[in-house]
Amino acid sequence: MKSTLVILTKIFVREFYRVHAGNFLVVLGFVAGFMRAPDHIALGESFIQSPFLLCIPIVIWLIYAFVILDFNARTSQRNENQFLIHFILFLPKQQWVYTFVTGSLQLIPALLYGTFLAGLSIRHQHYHIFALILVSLATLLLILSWQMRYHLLHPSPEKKVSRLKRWINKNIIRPPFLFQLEWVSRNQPLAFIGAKIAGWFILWATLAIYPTDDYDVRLLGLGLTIAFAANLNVLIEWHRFENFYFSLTRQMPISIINRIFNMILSLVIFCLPEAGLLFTKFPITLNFSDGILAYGYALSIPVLLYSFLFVKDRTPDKVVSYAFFFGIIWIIAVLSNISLGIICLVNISVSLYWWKKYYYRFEYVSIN
Amino acid sequence: MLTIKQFEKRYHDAVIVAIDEIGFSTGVHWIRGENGSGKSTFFKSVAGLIPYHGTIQFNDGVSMNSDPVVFRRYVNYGEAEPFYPGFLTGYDLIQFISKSKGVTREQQTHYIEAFGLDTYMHTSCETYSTGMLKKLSLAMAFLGRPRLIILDEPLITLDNVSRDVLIDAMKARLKNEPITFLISSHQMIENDVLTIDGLYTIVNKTIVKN
Repeated sequence: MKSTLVILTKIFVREFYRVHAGNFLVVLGFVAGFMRAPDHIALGESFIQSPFLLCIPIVIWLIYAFVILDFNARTSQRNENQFLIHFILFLPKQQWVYTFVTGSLQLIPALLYGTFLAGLSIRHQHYHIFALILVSLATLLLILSWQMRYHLLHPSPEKKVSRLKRWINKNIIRPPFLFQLEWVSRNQPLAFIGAKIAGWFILWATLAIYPTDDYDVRLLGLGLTIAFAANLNVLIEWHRFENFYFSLTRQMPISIINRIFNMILSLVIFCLPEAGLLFTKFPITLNFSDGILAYGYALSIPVLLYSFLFVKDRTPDKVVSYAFFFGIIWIIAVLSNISLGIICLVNISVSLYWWKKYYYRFEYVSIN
Repeated sequence: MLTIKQFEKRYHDAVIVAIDEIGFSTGVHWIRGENGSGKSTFFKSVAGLIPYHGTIQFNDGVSMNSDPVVFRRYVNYGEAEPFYPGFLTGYDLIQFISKSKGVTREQQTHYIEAFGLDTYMHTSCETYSTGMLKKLSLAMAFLGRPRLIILDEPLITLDNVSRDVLIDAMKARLKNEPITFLISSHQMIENDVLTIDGLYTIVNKTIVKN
């Protein structure tokens, strides 16, 4: 029994925390870095004031549970885990115990915070809140256990292709500049949607400030810097697709200039929501030529970040720290009133240099 | 004729394959070696998928280092265990390669039909079996007008009919144009089935002609 739990823990728990280590570190940094113990207690006490407010942590637990569900579904279907088919040989009671323990270990962060909130609700004699916390966490745990057990008992689900997808496959030839966008949207949907939402809201908030006072183009430059740099995770996945998962593109006789052109074309499509917002809500106090330059500058940010990925095979964490450094430089340049057109030109020039120097020298060694 | 000089591929401090000088004339060249001996790494380097040190060039001077785009037009590669994004159809992939390498529609149709891909050409790759993926990869390796076709373990997962199709396709190309095939295979290839012009073995991290 112990050995089975060890295997399940290694495959589902340890790997889950390893894959999401970066996210956990960000949350930990935020929680431990910015908030002291009294702040945590105050926040917890506000959550347990009413069932409505308790929905905030419950929704967060729900999102976290969805991440686990998605991870477990993908992990159980991986080729190297096909041996888990033998799980079916255990008694149903044992199966439930295994999946319950594994699910509990994956849910530890939610369980710990739930315990903290439960303790607070008992102290304040909010027993109905205590019951709600208990029921929410127990339900999540039950769903996790059930889903893991289901996947372990049905390890090779038949690939089903919907009628609509079949029609699209038969009648539409995908243009190559959409390959990477489809890959990222399928493999990293959260990063994809998150980047779009974050970028759109940052830009929306920036543009909403303009009518309140007399601001010059620098404010827009700052907003665009943050909004477009927020695409970094998508760019990392995009780069991996083109240079590792679909490395066939590297074997094609396509010039560097054409490769950059294709990349920018895909980027323009990817950034259409931001472009639409920028030009429909463009501040009347600014010149339209400023808008064109600002958009060019904005696009040059992901172009430079993408090109930087060719310089060396770095882990995403290291790339983020470099991107932070670039972000600081861009912000200083914008605040120093350097024309957005000039910064755009510098970004594109540096990108061209990196592509030309490093494209053919690059190889993903760390993924191998 | 393909010439490789002062070739070295290493990962960190470990040398995977190192070659002083070797030449491959037109015809079929079979490179053998144990698992992990570096065959696939060597093939990927020659195909332009991964970087290396040294010179790889055709006899008219077109080299990987100085003419990376033209060189890639002349080299096709069929990998041992092909993997393609699940959402793409075989047709998407064939169109992608055809546009890049300037392949005619007649040639596309010829290889699609020859390898029996027409029945599942418009289905996404995620539904393909290993054998179907292999046949797609082989068909793609024959597209265009390459001077060199690299086939890494072309016979694995192929049924007998597809194996015959592959051999016939190789023979037809050899008969009609000056072309070099670099292949690796753990399965025996009899000389009466396909004439082997050069037999090589990877020994001590280098390629030795037998």
